[in-house]
Parts: sequence; structure tokens; C-alpha cells
Amino acid sequence: MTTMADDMLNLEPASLEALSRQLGEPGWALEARRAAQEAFAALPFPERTEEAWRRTPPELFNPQGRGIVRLTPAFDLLGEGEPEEPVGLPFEKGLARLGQVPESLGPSGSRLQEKFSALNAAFRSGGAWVGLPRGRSLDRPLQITHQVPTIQAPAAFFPHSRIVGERHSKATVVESFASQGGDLLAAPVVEIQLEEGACLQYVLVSRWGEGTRALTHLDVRLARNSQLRVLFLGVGGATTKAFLTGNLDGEGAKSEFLGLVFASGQQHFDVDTLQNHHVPAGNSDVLFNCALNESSRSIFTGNIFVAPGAQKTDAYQKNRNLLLSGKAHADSIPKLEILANDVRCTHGATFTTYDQDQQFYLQSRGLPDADARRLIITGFFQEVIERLEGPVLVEWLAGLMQEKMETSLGV
Amino acid sequence: MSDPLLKIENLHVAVEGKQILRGLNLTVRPGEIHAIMGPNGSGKSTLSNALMGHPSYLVTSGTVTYKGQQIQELPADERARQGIFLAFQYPTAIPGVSLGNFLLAAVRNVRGAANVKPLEFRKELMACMKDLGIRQDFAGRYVNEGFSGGEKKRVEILQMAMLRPSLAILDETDSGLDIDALRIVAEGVNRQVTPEMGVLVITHYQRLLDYIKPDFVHVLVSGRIVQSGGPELALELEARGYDELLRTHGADAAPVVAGA
Repeated sequence: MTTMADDMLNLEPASLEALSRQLGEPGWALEARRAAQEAFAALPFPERTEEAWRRTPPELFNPQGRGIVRLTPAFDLLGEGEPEEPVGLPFEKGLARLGQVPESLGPSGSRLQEKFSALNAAFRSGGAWVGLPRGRSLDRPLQITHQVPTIQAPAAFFPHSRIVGERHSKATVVESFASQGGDLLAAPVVEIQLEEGACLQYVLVSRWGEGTRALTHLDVRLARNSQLRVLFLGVGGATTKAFLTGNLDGEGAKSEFLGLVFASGQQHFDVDTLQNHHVPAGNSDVLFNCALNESSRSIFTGNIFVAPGAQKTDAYQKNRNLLLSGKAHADSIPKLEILANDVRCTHGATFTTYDQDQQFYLQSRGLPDADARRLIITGFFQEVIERLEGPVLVEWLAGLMQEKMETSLGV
Repeated sequence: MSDPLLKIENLHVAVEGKQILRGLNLTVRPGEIHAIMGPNGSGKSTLSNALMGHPSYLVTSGTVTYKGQQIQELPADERARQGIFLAFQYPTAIPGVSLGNFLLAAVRNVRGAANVKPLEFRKELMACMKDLGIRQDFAGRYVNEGFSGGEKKRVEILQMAMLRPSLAILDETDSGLDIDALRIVAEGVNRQVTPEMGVLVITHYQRLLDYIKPDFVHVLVSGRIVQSGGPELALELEARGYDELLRTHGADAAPVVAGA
């Protein structure tokens, strides 16, 4: 893994050239960066009055006055087994192999329509490129790690990752974003494209350091009969705003978005999910569990859009919140826009405080107070974790939650 | 006579500021099965919760002595580790926690982690489940979540079997059980009773006592034991009901005068 927090790199246009050169990119890649930078400059900065930004001030993510961190991700495989060549590359290497800019990053691409995505496209300073070949099944989960070391001066990190699951491929990808100390703005963009019949489990682990503000975009496109299971796991960072979007483009696609947030201290998590049902017979399922300790805060906004004609859509979403402290606060906002008439859409939210009856029940079986508390919280997460396939992955995730629990509860 | 296993003296317990138990006395010796009967609201569940150490049940005066040591100040988990077990009337669901993992954690705490080997634990659990007619897949199901009333009660007795208490308190274990389930649960309890163990069976109805034979029967009315006797007392109560006792000893009755 190589890192460079270069003071010479900033949000000036001259940095585009330097970044592109350092990454060894061809000329057309630099041209794409320039186009993105123009789009970024032309787009207005989000306002607090916009619905998506009402509960998290957008100014927190102002990138001005920061150096840029350049980082190469690490690739390995979870669990034991025969060593095999991981299928991932640094983004710029994948881009060079493709020989052109992906459509979403092109002059009229979707990424250039949104302020922070355009910023990321222009000043991209890391990220992974994963191509899952046609018909291929990966036995072990691929792990991608972006680990930003301690930084001295305020900095920004713009990783862009792209995962393409070709027809009938099957894989699990775990992408971890982490940082150490220092004032960091992280604005990752992850794009996933699943071709017909592809099947992917994707876990995004957000374990940023205490001084990091993270603005995450995850966009998935699902072709006919493809299947996706996403887990957003939020444990780190000071302030996190995330937009997680599933586009059901082909009939029979299945999109499952899971979320686990465990917040403590003053942590703030604001997550928007959007399931776009563009065509008939899509299935989407959202389950987001947030546990909040101390003075932490979470906002979950679950959007479901059903386009006219997207009949036989089956959309389900549920948000559960466990408030472990009287000072913690959770909001749950469901938004359904349904323009077809033969659909099934359900949503629900629950808020529970720490349950004294559960506590007593466990204590009456010999579990000390701290163990009982830990078991209740573990159970709350387990419901989500057990939706994932693969014992290695499930165990790894449980271990991660355990780690967070030990640091934040001291148990 | 052997030393008492449990000695309750002049126990007063309040719940949310309301006095429920008002001077309860009871002695249980090893090997004895005591039934506590009484009408609704007499304080039966308060007694079981207070004995287990529920934080909402406040002991305002009196003492609970277990194996020679006063325990009324001890937290529930400490009491459990010392061998007290409560089979709940309404067992709580713990979503996301499998019965097997929960019981492993419980058994480790009660018997000491060093004394519990996962493989042997597994074998013992499967054997106990079989005895109680509980399907093996229940070990992977979340504790009490989506269980029927009868399944919950069986699982309570399963926990008792795994924790091997010295003092077992069965709170309305017969409620919600059909006659077949009642028989299986009662047989499960009877199999576990040892000469060193004391059992407190708390029940509204006599029917459970056809299966778990008590040595002593006590009647609880308005927070006190107003009558004690042998097994015949349960049948007597079944025949004449609680009305007369309520008239004499109920909250509206004249206060009991010392020596009366």
C-alpha cells in the first residue's frame, strides 16, 4: 500500500494533471477529469433546505482548503484456503485496461450530475476496480482495504471503486474504508454493475477514524434476474452521510440492502437508501438496524420509487433502532413514491430502548449485567448479519461488531 | 432435620411503591417440594420475582436466607450462580440470540467457563432437548421468539435441566399448556428433582400438582401465607375455591391481630 498526502495537491485544476500523471493515466483520462472538474464547479453546493440535507449540514463536507490523500488499496481474500490471485486492481489500472471512461463518468454520465460525485470524478485519488468474469464463482470473499494513515494537515480522500459482475458471475466483496487520526474529509464513490443473472454480496465497512467526515455514494445497477445483497456497516467516523441506491433495471432483479450502524460518543450517521423500480417484477428488501449509545444520532431515510408500469413490484423496508442511552436520538423517515397500481410495498420502523425484562431474564440465567447487555446488542446485530451467506463472512462481521462493542461499551 | 435451604422471614416487598408482600414466612428444606397457591393478585409472581432478584421488586423489610446466607441484596445473576432458578410465567424473547448460544453463555456463568467443554455441552443439550420433546432445530432459533406458549414453558424447563439449580421456582409453569405438554413438562421437572434440591411450585390451579407432588401446600392471600398443610389442602382449595379465604384474609378484611 502506498500513500501520499501531498500538500501540493489541492482542489486547483493544476492538481488534476499532477494526480493523473502520478497515477500514470492516459490523456483521455485526464480529459475526463477536466470535464468532471468543470461540472463540479458549475453545480451549486447543496443547501440545508434540501430534503436530503435537512439533518446533516452540507457545509461539513466543504472540500476547500484541504490537501489530497492519494492511496492504493490492498487486496486479499477472507478466510483460509488455497492462495489465489485476487481479482481486483487499483482503479486507474482497470481504467487503462478498459481503454475508455465508463459511461457513468463520461461527459453526460450520471456521476457528473451531482456535486460530490463530480468532485470525486475530477480529483479521484484512489479506489478499486473489480471485474468478475462471466460465469465465474469466487469461493472466498474478496477484501479491499483503503486505510488512510494519520494525517497532519486537513486533507481529503476521493476513492472511486467500480465492480462489474459479468453474466452469471457470483462473488462476495468486502470493501473497508478506514483512517487514523487527523482532520479528513472522505468522499468515496462506489459503482456496481450487475449483468444478467449475476449474483453479488457486497459489504461496505465504514470504519473511519474519529476526525473523519465521510460522504459516501453507492450506486448499483441491476440487470435482468441479477441478485444483489448489500450490507452497509457504519461503525467509525465523526459524521457520515451516505446515499445508497439500487436501480432495478431488468425484470426479475432482486435488491437487498442491509444496514448496521453502531454509533457511540457524538457520532452522527445519516443514511438515505433508494430502491428504484424501473421495470416490472423487481424485488427489493431493506433492513436497517441502528444501535445508538451515549449522545450519538442516526437518521435513516428509506426511499422506494416505483415507476409507472413497474407492476408486480415487491418492495419491503424495515428500520429498527435500539437506543442504549437517554441522550441518543434516532429518526426514521420512509418515503414511498409509487406510480404503478399492482405492487406490494411495505415499510416499518421500530424504536426500542434497552429492555429491562430482557436484561432480567438473562441475568436470572447467571449472566452478569455487562454480558447481558452485550448479548442483547449482539442479537440485535445478528438478525442482520445472519442474512449474509458464508460462514467466514458472518464470523468476520460478528468479530468486527464485537470489537466496536468492546471499545464503545467497555465490556 | 437438615438445615433449611431457603428461609424467608417477615418478607415485605413493594412494586412501584405498592406494597404486595406483607410479612411472608416460609422455610424450604433440601428435598422438599412446596406449592404456593393463591388467587390472582395475591402476590405469587411478586414472590418469585423477588426471590430471583428483579430490580423492580423492592424488599422493604424482612430477610431471605439461602444456604445460610442472606441474599435479598444480591443481584439476579449472583443468585443464579449460587443455584437459584426461576422458570418464568412469561419468558422474554431475545431476538438475534440463538437458544444454543444463550444456554452456553448461561451454563458457562453458572458452572464456571473452565468446566464447560463445547462438545460435551452440545451433547448434553441435545439429550435434554430430546427428553423434553424439543426439536433439535430449536437450538438455532432465537430465544423464545415466535415460540408457542407450550414451547416457551418446555424451554424454561430445558434451561433448568442445563443449569441444575439447588432451588427451583416454577412460576405458573402450567399456564398455557395442554394436558400432554403439561405431562411432559412435569415429568421433566420430576426427573431433575434430587434429594438436595428444593422446589417451589407457584400455581393458581391444582392440576399441575397431580403431576408434581408437593410435600407442603401453602395458600397466599394478600401478601401473606394464611394457611399451610399437606397435599390434601390443594384438593380442598380446588373444591371450595379462594372466596372464603379472601373474605377472611383479603385486603378488605379486618387486619390480623396478633394472637388472634
